[in-house]
Amino acid sequence: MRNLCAAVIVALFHIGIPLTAFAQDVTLTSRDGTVQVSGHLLGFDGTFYRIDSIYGELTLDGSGVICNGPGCPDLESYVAEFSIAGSRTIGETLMPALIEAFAADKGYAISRKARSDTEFTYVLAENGKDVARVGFRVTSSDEGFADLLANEADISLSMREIRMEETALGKDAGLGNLGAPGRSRVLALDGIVPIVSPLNPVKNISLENIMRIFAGQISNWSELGGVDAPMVLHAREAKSGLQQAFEDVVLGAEKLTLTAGVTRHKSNVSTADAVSRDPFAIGITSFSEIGNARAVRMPGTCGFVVEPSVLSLKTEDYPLTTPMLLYTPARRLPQAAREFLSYLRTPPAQLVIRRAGFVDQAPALIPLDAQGARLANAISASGDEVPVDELRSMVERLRGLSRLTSTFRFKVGSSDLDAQSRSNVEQLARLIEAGFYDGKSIVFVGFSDGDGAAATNKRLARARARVVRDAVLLSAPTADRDRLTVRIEAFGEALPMACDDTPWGRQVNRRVEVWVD
Amino acid sequence: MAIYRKVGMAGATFVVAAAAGFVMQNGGALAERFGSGKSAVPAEPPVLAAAVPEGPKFAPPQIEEANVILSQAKDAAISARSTLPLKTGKEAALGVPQQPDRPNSYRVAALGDAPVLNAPELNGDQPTAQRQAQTDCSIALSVVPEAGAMVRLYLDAPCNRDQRVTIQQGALAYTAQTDGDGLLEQAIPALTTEPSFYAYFADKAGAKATAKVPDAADYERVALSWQGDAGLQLHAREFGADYGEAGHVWAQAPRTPSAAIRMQGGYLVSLGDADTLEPRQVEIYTFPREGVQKSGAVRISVEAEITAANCGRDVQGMSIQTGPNDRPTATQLTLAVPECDAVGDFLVLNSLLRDLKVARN
Repeated sequence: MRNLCAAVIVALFHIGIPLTAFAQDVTLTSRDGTVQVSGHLLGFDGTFYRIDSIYGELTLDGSGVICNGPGCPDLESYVAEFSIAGSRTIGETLMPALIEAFAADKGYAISRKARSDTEFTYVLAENGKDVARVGFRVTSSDEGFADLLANEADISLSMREIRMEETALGKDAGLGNLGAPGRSRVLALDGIVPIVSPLNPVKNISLENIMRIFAGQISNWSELGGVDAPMVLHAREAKSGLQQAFEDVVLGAEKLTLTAGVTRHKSNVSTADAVSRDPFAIGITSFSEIGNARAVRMPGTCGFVVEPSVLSLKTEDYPLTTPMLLYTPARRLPQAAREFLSYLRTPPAQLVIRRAGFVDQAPALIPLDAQGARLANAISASGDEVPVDELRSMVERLRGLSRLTSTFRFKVGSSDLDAQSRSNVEQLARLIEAGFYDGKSIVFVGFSDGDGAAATNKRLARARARVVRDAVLLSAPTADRDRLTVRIEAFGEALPMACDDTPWGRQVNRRVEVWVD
Repeated sequence: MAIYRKVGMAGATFVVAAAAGFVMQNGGALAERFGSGKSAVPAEPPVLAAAVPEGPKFAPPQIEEANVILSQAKDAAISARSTLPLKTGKEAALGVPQQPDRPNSYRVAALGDAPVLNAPELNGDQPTAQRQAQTDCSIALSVVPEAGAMVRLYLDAPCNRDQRVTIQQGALAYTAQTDGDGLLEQAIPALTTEPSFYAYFADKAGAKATAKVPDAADYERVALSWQGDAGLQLHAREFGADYGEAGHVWAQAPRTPSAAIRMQGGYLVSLGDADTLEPRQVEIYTFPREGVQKSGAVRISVEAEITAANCGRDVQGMSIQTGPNDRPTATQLTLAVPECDAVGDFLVLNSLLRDLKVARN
């Protein structure tokens, strides 16, 4: 598929993962001797053998077979091994912090064997005996998927959703449908953030102008009211998921492409450091790594300012929100890997995510009182389409409720929820099943953009709210519906979050919010 | 970077000297010894806590409790301090404000469970054999809080003159050397609000002491320790500073605790004597958690010049950083130094330790 395999093996060898258990011939024989399968051993998780045989990839229960051949694992000294590959934004700081915290939580001693910043292995031990070895290859979202498809990684990290080509390759490689809901999860939230140096006098640049700058249509600071100096552009390398998401969402809105002459960086830290030192620089980084640079303030024409913050990422009201994604193949991972994956969903893991400077997914409440600016904007936008009476009735119906940060949005031009929203469905469903909202009201409130007739928009908004309500309740089959009041409201274009004159603004406005009492 | 490299290479041989000189204070005035009870030498060699998740779980080597009269020890610590020649010169150089005479700040709670060595069990080849016969060989350790969440450690081991001693705080350990009177005095950043210290010699004789350092909660601390002559360096580049600029803090530009006390920035303390047998060294970077009127990132990197002595080898070490729940979390490290064809280059690890993200408050 790609010629990365050899490089990876060399890398793994250097960082100390013994490869004896990989790509070796084994013969598995049933205990009564009647069935025999030979092939390359792909993995052993302490219980199950996974081999590449003439019948394809097979998983066999170790208790039922006897292993013969040079590739057989030593059953006595079995140490769980799994590897994590992909996005530097996720793998450089956040994932190591989570592995270390997981080890502390389980009472394991932990050591890190580092070959470089991007190749390292964590060894978890208990009572002086190794229990798990976790290999890291921190590269890019692209290479993470490639490693997953080439069976070189068990977990891949990505700042973008998997592409259709990759999903197809995954099916061919026997990894199952990587695009299916169970194969990916949102680890934390991040955002694409345009940055400038603190020394740069230009503070405001609209998202449209950001697009024009990176498409090469604006190239001198004087065009934006700054000094007469050419702009110096910085971005991540082409394999970066963050970079691809930026090009898809921002440049893709008008089918533009990235201009030539952009300085490419291997990490967001490198981008942020380069931009912070150069008053004429502008760059694209992540919310988690603004570093010593300054996030550009992005005002819209209608008065809304697009600003990344913990809350605007959680609500996805920031149009460039990008979930940090984790993909796993449809195969049994070692128990230590499964324990780690379930740890990632726990409240202590959310705390680690926050402390490491990232945005976790724990829902927060925003009371109506704290939404004054939003209401003021709604009032100034009111008129023929949305009469003030309509606003009054909306405020009446939301009075006493608070907005939950969990907000639901759909993929562009589609009725499918986006990745962050799918994760929100699961989170909300779990809270409902746990009885967190027993005796309370949950209101799914549909909104739309301002394109088209208000009445049509209201109908669309109601339809979206219904879709989200059904998805949440379907994911919470054990919820006690008698203890819960669920309602649907729809206010159409009445309460915009962003200006409707850009594709990003309209995308932000098409949403289903959740309000609770 | 080019400038830094020149500086780094020219100055490399001085790193160790600077590191040792920063805190070694071989004052001869600590004549008072405290602790007079007897205890057995620990049966097992001290086991260094390998990877200890967090503060209270730090497992200092097990030593038997000794009969120590705490009040006596406390008095001794205070009087020992007050009888020391005034360190005005040194402390002025360090920029540490003199501690006001507040007895409360000297609460050396649960001071020194100081086990006492039975003289006959000492090795015969000790140069102090004659003194051993005459004097009490008890080992006394006390730690006294100082400004900036530092502690001053006083070790008095009359029978262990000019000897290698390991000083351990939680999971962090380094080696130092007693002077000709068996004394050692050092200023050490406290990693927790109730740090416990343990000093022990090659023959496992040692003493323990704890302190209460409430203001340790006001500082973010990042520690790196390593074994052997790997020559690792901890570098902090504050708020976008490049190598060699004012905001670049490392062993050759360490600043003093006053930088943090005055909320201007961080400082670095190097501990450990590279000239001891099987040396262990430590570098600790401290940054005030509140009050610095800047926001942004402090880049933390681990670097080492690749030399003929370390190339192609694994360096063992340990990092300690604040983990979840605000507790210091230790991680054991093995760093693979590049092969010997890279001698003269620098190994730079930018992601081994987490950068500090500072929000102005």
